Amino acid sequence: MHEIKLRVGTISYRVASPWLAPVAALRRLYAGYPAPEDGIATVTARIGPPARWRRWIRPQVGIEGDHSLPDTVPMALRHALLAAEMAMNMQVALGERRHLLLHASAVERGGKALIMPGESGSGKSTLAALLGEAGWRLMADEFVMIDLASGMALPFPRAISLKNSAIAEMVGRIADPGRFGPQLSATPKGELRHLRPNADAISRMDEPAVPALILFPSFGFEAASEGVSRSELFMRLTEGSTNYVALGLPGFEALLRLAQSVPSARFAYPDSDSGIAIVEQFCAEAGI
Amino acid sequence: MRDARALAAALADPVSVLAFSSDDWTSLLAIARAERLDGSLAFRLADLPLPPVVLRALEDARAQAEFGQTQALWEVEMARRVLAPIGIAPILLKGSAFAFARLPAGIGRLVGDLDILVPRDRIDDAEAALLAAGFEWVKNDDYTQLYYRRWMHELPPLVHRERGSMIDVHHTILPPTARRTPDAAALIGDSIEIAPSLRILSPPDMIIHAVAHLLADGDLAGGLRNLWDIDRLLRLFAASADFWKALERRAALHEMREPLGLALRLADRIFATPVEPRLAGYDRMRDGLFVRRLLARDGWGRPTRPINRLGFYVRSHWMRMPPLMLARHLWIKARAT
Amino acid sequence: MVTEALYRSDFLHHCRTHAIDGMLLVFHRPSGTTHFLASPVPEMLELLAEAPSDSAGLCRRLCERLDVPQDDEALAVVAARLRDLVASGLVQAA
Repeated sequence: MHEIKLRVGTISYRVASPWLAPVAALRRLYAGYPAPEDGIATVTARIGPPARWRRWIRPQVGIEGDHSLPDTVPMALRHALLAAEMAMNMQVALGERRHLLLHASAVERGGKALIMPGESGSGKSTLAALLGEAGWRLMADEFVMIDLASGMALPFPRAISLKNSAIAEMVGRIADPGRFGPQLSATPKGELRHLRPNADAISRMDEPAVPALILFPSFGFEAASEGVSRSELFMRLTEGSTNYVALGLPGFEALLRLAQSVPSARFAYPDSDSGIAIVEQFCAEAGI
Repeated sequence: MRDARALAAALADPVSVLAFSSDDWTSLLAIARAERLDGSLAFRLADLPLPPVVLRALEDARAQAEFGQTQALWEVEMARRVLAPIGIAPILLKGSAFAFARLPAGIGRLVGDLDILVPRDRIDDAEAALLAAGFEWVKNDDYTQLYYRRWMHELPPLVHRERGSMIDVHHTILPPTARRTPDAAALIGDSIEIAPSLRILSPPDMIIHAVAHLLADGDLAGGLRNLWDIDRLLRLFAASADFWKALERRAALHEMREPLGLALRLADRIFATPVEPRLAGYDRMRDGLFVRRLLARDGWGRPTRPINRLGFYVRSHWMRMPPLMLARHLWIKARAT
Repeated sequence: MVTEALYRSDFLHHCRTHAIDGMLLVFHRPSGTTHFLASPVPEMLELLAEAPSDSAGLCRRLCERLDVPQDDEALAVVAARLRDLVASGLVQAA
């Protein structure tokens, strides 16, 4: 098995693969990331063939690790990097129990965090990537961790998944081609390319921020926005958390604190520029 | 790490981890999670001076185990609310029993489905009550229903429509088609009331059941965890003076003398469990195969030794059903898929 | 005469609650479930925690407390909500 060890925020990973190429791709994508804490990787993500012969013959890549779901569909070998990223996500989604997980992107400015929950296609990753190159610090594109005791948002700056039109947008804005992973075509999520967060985001991956604004984006609609009530915010945040139920009462308290104290709105936007403009307007009103 | 030996050693003798390298820790955690023993490991290692990052990983495991216990106890309570009004006091089995009775075997243990034992003559009533309370069949085809009711020792699995939790209702601890026939009435007769309308097996019967579950009812998948249950239970129960004699009597009654001996020898070899030597018997050559099967997990958490595993899969089916029946069952299953 | 089933609740002992936007957010510790309850359900739980009732009796007490007419619709609503509460485990047979 080939493996890579790295730390992203609070997660010290070991990612293992019987094929060399995906591990080599991960090394390039995560260049500059720190080693695991104390040199000990405590979370194992794996990709592997679902049956032994699938390692060599019409290879298939299954998503595995300490935690796995029985129904994941194996992928083609050329998409192994995506499978590895999904395996890394799955370990956190299924195994994290010390922090409340929100399925959201997050960026920070002045010690305050803007959190953008949403499903695939909502635009949360692209917006975060754009803001991350425009004076904000990227904290996360997939999972935001909330400290149960303090309520602070903790960074988890993994490589950002850019899909379809977002790829060209970001390639146009970022001078360093070395920050991009290979172009993956015809994946289950369409065209996909990974983007490494900038050096600032990586060096500050241990710096938490106060949640100050929660915005729910919807990409691809006419510009519009409206406030979100506290009860709706509570409900939507539980829907977007993979581990809320497993955390029990401390999870309830942490989520309630967020819903009570952080202003929230939802907005729709037709393109990135108007999306960013709406976000900056909300941030000005929220004092970020 | 090439197999789960270091995990077994860590559980049996926690201080053995103090000599671990970074890679050892990574492998140990992967193996523990794969064997679903990470919660138990976390509690066993709780008081040791470990690297902070390891302590935090074990915290995750402890939190997961605690959540699992909350869920398991809730399922017990909801089952009680359904069955008590019709006069059925179910006997809790396995993880749910350990959790409810606060046995050491339950500490850190991840609990799966709720397993209960009810008298055979009440099983139809139990089924009706559970269906009325929101449970439904996981598989509702005619063949599965018939197969379970005629040949198995339990109802087909039930899942709760809203909670998504599963319940397995047994009327004895081994299939009627197995070579050995435990005495279900005796299991029920010796059971202990642990709370109003809730029962657990007597200590010797609890061991017998754990042995049946480990050896006679499966292909040893997840076997290391079942063997750990047996270790924990034995250490607790052996504190009473008559325990080994009672265990021998019950093993004879339930026709489980040989499997019990094997289980005791395996616990001794793998966890250094103190066992009564006459009851355990002499080591057999086959014991080594079982040990290898139980420890077949590599440092990345993958199951190893496929030929060894296949042998156990076939063996487990043969133990449940005589070969001719097995062939028919597999044929019908193949046609259905 | 058919004896009506009696219901009770130990809601207050087992729950962490919080009022939000006119509803009651409830964390039920034994089951680990979170509920959002809208009137008249929180009032029903309070009444059952004070004293067990059957469905009709609960309806009578509830309508008194909320100062609303006690009619067939009220009976039907109470019966339906009671079924939900039993299914969720917040209420059980006394």
